[in-house]
Amino acid sequence: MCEPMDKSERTTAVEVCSLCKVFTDPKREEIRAVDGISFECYQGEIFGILGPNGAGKTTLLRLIATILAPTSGSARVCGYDVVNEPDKVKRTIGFLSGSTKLYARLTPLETVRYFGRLYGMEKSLIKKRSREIFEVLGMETIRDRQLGKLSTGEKQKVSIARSLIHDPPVLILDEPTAGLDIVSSKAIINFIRSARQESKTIILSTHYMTEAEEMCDRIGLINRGRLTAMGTTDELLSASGTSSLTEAFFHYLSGNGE
Amino acid sequence: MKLRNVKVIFLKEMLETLRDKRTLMVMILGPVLVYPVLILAFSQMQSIQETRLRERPTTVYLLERRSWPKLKKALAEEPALRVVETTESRLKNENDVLVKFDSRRAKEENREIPSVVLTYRQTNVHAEKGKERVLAALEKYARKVASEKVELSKGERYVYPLIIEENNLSSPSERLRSVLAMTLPMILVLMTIAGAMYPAIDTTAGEKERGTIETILASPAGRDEIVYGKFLSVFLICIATGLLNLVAMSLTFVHVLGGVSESIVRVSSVALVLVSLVPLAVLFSALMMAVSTYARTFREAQNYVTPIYLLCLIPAMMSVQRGFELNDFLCLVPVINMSLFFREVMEGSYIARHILLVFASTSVYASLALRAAVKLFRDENALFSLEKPFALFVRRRVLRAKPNPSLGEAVFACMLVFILFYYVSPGFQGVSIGGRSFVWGTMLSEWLLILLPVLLFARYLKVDFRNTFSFRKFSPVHVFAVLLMFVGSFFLLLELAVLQKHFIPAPVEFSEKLTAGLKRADFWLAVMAIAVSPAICEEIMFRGFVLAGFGKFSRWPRILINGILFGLYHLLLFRMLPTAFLGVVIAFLVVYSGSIFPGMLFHLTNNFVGLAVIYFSTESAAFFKEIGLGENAADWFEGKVHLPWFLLVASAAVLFAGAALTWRFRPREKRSSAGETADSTPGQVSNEEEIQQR
Repeated sequence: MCEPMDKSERTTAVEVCSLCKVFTDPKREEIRAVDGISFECYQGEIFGILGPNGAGKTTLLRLIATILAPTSGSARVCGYDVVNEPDKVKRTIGFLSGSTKLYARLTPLETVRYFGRLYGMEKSLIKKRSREIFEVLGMETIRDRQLGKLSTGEKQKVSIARSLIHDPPVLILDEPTAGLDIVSSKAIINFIRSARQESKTIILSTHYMTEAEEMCDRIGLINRGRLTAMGTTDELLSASGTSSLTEAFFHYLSGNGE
Repeated sequence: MKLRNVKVIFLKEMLETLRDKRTLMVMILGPVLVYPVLILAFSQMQSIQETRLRERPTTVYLLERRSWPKLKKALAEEPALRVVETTESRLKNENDVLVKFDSRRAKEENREIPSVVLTYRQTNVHAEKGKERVLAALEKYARKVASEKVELSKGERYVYPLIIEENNLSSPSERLRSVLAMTLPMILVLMTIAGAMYPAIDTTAGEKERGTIETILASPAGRDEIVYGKFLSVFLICIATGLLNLVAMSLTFVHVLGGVSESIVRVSSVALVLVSLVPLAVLFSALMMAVSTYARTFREAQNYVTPIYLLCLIPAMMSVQRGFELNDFLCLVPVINMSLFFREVMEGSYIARHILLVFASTSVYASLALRAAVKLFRDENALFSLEKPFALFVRRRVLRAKPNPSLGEAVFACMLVFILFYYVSPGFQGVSIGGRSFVWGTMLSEWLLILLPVLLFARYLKVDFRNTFSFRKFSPVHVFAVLLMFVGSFFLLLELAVLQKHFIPAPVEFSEKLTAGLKRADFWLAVMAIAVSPAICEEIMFRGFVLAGFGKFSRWPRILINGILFGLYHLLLFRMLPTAFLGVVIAFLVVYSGSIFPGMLFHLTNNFVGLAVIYFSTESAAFFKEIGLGENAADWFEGKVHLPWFLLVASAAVLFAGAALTWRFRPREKRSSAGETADSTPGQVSNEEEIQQR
């Protein structure tokens, strides 16, 4: 799987190759949070990662985002290696997860500016970009209020603005709609779709089957740190002989996919 | 590392901190309000007190019925004194003064003025004032008598009674300055440290708690850039707090004391204090950041930082201690050096060498603390807090077996033993060292207050005993190494005891009492208590449990910290240096031999020889003479004289040879197939098979 696959002419944006992450907990012995996962994402596709809690989704995404260092294996984002060129990898991805919260005492504008500067952007570019994003997400009215006083949905919008400021070709979104109401999650889903329109590559982890079914081009099922199945929704359904993604999910979870 | 990113992070941290009310309270409101209120209240209270003192007359009880009518009259004529004759030789009221004339001695010596005995309570301000008034009245009378005598004798030689006039050279401003020079450094040091406390926690543990750490880690900012940016903001707030305190303090004095203040608040000394605040601020910003990076929540970080702050209280208070002066060695001790140095500066008596030493040493500590903070920020375990905090009062059934105790558990064990030893041990030892049950008490303390709690705690935690306490086989070479290291360290330890006396002299009665306490006991009983018991119990505690708990540290920090803890445990400041050195040597032995037994052997030999020399002090003095060590040898053991340098060099060489031997024959570490993760406990994983083959 690590060799380039000529399945289509599409270019590979993210390439994960037998990635492993082992945590040593002093009380237990070893936890293999990510245990030899390999997959590829093509440019312009939405790749969904599905799995129960504790399956290793977040660790996998953190590894790709270079927040954690892999124990073994490798991953490349737009051709940059996560171990050897973490700086370049960080510049090409926008990372958003449930644990990437924002500074409560800054305003949305200050937040976006701050991260823009850390990405090494020019002031004029930051200004232009932030104006665009704020307009698209409809947050001009809240841009000068301190984040601590905003609602959950508004905060999530700021997080999205933060992850988009440097216009990354790859987006890594860890449960972007978790804990949001229907209106806010609809806005997020719209945003993800529009990002694909701009031919961005998106890796998305989620709990919601419908969300995965609606949005993702391909889905990877993860359980106990291993990739148990991968393919389009239809491929997964036919391979497991089930009629819905939820059923397919339980089918693979019970170990039938091995 | 890109400076641009450091700057961006620094500016953002500053903005965030300045928007936080809590930081501003500590930083600005604290000094701006506290000093004026404190000083004004204090000085006003004092003036009120003084007026009250002046207005209130002193009641003087005269314990004399018959003689000295003139003197009595003189006293009674004083407006501020109210003389009452009494027959009771006891003071009824705390405020009063009792005066007794000793006529017998005056008659014997044929004097016209009696000896006067004043009885009063010094701690009572009224009585103290009363004493001064009585003395003044007596002096006035003595002068009068003397001048009358001169007239009577008409030119003949006459011996005046001794009249003493005090001529205090220090002006009131100087006296005030010395008082302020003693108290202000402590306040300044503590306020500055307090300034760093809140932002240090907020930017590290606070960030973790609020879940923003992953956001910043996902950005291209490097971990060192993040740490330095944060550190700069913490440092700036810390130094700003110090500066504000200094300014508020100075202005308050100028305002309250007027002209007097000029000599206290000299621009040059304020500037020097400010400059020397820099290394202190660097040290504490870095230290508190490093400590709070380890915590996962704000509260947890506060729990870690508060003890550090409290620990600083003691050295900071050293500036209040009269007679405790800054010397070259103390320049190297953190916090103490700062507060004593500030005092020197404020007294205007600083030495250039001290400035240099204080600066250099504090900078070294600060850079170490900063390095630790960066290291922790690179450590995924610390950053994402995978390690569970140590939980007390958890059902043992719930705990899982594990190879080693954690850091928190080792620190807890230390505290437990310190506390037990401090509060219970004196009871065992018959309160004082010279007490009858000293030897028995020491033995009981070792077994019941050290060994028993540690073993129970280790059992409760389900740690692997063999691994935690290094109950492993060792190479016979290590026995030889122990002997070499013992011989080498023996004289070095004696020299260290001498060096130690230069800054904290041991009370003379201590060693005398110790010797007396020991000699009262049977020799072999003393050996059991002083040599065998510590070699087993203290080793199991320090080189077993504690050393294993610090397993995550790399070797040398682990060995050094172990030595310092061992030195601290002895609770005797004047034994700190030699015991810490002993701890380092033994920890080295245990880490590099992979077994606790060489450590026990070393401890046993060391204590046994030391005990024998004390127990048979007369015989041993004769023995030293015989083998040609000369008369000095006996003095060496009492730490009276420095040892000859050639002996020290030779000792160091022997110690080094022993250490090198230990190192050379260290057990090879097992390479686990899991790779880097198995390397987390260096020195703990030993390959037994290899030793057996040898």
